[in-house]
Amino acid sequence: MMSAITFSYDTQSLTGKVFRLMDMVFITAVVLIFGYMVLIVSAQVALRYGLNMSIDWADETGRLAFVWVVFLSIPLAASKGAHIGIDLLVDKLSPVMQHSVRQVSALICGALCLSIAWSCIELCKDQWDEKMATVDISVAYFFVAVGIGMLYSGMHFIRIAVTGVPVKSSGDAE
Amino acid sequence: MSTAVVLGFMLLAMFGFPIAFAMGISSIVAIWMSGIDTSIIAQRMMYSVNSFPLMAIPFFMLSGELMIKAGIIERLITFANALVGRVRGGLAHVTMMSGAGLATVSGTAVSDASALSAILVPSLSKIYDKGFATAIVAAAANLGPIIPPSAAMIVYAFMAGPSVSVGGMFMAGVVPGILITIGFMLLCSWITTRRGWLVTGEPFQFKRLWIEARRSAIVLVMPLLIIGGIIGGAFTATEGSAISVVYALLLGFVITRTLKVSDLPGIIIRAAITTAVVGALIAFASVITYLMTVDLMPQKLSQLLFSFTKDPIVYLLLVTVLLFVVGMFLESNSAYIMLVPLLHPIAIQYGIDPLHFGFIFVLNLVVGMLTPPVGVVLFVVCGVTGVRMRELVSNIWPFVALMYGVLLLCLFFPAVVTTLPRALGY
Repeated sequence: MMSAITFSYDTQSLTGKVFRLMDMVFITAVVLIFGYMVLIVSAQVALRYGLNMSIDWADETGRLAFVWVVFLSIPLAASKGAHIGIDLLVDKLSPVMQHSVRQVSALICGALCLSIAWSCIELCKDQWDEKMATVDISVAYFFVAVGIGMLYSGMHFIRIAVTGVPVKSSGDAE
Repeated sequence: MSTAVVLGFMLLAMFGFPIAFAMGISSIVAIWMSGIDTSIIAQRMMYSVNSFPLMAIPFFMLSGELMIKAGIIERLITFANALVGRVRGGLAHVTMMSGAGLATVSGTAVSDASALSAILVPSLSKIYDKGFATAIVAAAANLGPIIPPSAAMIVYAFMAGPSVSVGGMFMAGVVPGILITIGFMLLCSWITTRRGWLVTGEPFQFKRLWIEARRSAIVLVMPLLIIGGIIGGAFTATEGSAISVVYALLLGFVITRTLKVSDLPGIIIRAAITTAVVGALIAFASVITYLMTVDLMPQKLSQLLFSFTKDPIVYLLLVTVLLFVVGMFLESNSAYIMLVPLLHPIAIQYGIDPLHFGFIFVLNLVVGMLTPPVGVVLFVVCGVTGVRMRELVSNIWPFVALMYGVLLLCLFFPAVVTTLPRALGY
């Protein structure tokens, strides 16, 4: 079922196999959470007009799901080189310089992501006891998504810095 | 501080850093040097994405992809062919009508460009030269973000805040969208006549049109249901977008039966990755916006502009020139996210209707998707068809000029944009 999913790095090396496995976990999670988003938002409308009732927690859990989808997909986009950048100047450099600039860029982006992931630990600790308004779930789960997404983005950027930049495919993002 | 952040961001962006992360790096340095707690970054990022209206973006993207996979383009093409296939430039008109039809179910130009290129360019190339064939497809695909629903308009409304509603923006795009579609068709007629291309297609028959209309009804009804529901207040834009996903699933699995369960993960992941790219931009831009707010940047900018001109039309023209330049170098979502929080409040101070300004802003950047060097639609069409960029670019200028014509019409006559949404209560 996941055969249509492609990876833009060497999946034969040990590192590649580990990243592939982790990517598959993220992809599965994104597909399931995305499905939940569609289900809960459309069910809310169906119940409102079909049974004249509403689900109190639909809005809040829908938003939680959306935050998770966005932050779990950010590293997947990073692994494919789908995040938008301006290549006009870099493309004018020699191939060796291009490679070096892109490696440094990936390394700095990785450091940024890891520092954000680190700050999420403190935020989660601070907010762990605070519950959402409509469900008995900690609001810290919003920051768990940011932390996991940034941690894995950082790992992908560092992998890119070490192994090389993925080739961008047109139409990955608008 | 804001100036240093902007300069730092521009420097990093010029060196090929992903734009979202360039914003994050320049912000984290500024925050660290100002002695502000760096956890503000994660907080701003999370709160900026924690939005119910933003969920409409992945839903409309997903429904568009599902509808394409469900084979709606073939139905739209046969319907358009029955309607306008026999007139001069017939297949070009069919492409324009198919593009407009696709735009009513899909919110982006890129997915439309990819789908239309793959299906229509082989037939178009048999009648017209490849440059013109691809230019027609690129122009038709660019109707995607103008005719509702539109992911660009959702991003704009989100960044502009409560003064602009998604429904209002959608309705603002209807009349200009129709004008551009008709303009494109007239332009195609003129070019095909001038170049002496033959009339093709089967003769017009009411019976054939009726059969194709019935066959396409399941597709043509969808935008009426979804957009009508949003305008009528039956559901919000996000709820409407979720319903459009369910509708597309039913269409693909039950009606056309071309959709397979195994197609779903790939389609969902494509929609999720595109959303993540926009989401990362919004998340990191929110940190820059915070720094600019702390630094009173919008107020300083508005004072500067007011000292230069107090005429709203001059302001709109200045924004158009700015977006023309920005659109040549920057991808459109990045431009919405960075510039709307700065320029939209100033437009309101100038007394410009928020929907009018919003639509002018969106249309400017949509035209930018057809202009080199960073015309994303051009890249997609060339990538799918293998046609050289030079061939496409030399044929795209009449379409770009026409879009700028409609843009100026909307700029000088706001009623073209605002009459419909205001009549519907927005």
